[in-house]
Amino acid sequence: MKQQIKDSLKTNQVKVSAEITKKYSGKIIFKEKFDRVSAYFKDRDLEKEIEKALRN
Amino acid sequence: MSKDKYSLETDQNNLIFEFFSEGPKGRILKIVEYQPLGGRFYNLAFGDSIESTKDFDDFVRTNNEDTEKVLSTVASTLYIFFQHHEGTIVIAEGSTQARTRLYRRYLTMFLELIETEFTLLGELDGKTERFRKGVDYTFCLISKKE
Repeated sequence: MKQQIKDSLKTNQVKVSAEITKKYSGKIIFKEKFDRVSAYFKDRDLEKEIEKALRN
Repeated sequence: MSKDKYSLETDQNNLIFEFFSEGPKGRILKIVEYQPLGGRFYNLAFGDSIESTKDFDDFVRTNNEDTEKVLSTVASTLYIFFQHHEGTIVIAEGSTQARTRLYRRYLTMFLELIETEFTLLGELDGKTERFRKGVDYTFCLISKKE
């Protein structure tokens, strides 16, 4: 069952849509969330944090 | 965790995905957005399109009785995203505490399935560490193993 779910997640069909490309071009949709997460990680060196986390 | 999922449409950059949730509340347009944060980091956001206001809401709780199918569909976009954006790291956060717990429960299940392919880290109070089950992380950081 787990393998079936995993296979299912990996194989979702996706269609590239010119309409979606045009509709959202250059736009951040969930702007408030973007601003909040950007502010949270501002001035953080995430690359270093990740490197350290992976060493432990 | 469900193996059922909705069909997706995306933009040419594979950063924005649309699908329709179908249930008792009707047909609701859902959007998954990978937001570039700088460097190789992308924030995963998802929510509903609000027809009446032509706006988008990542706080809304639709209750369309298809949560697992919706989350499986969102999870499936990760595979597509990483296929087209190699070497990137996706940051995932819930909009509300309830949704964070929901994410975490789902991520724990998801992790068991994908741990051979993805590296999962957790962020809490300014500290990043390897993801451990049962810890109430603020963010999860997901990357595809090389």
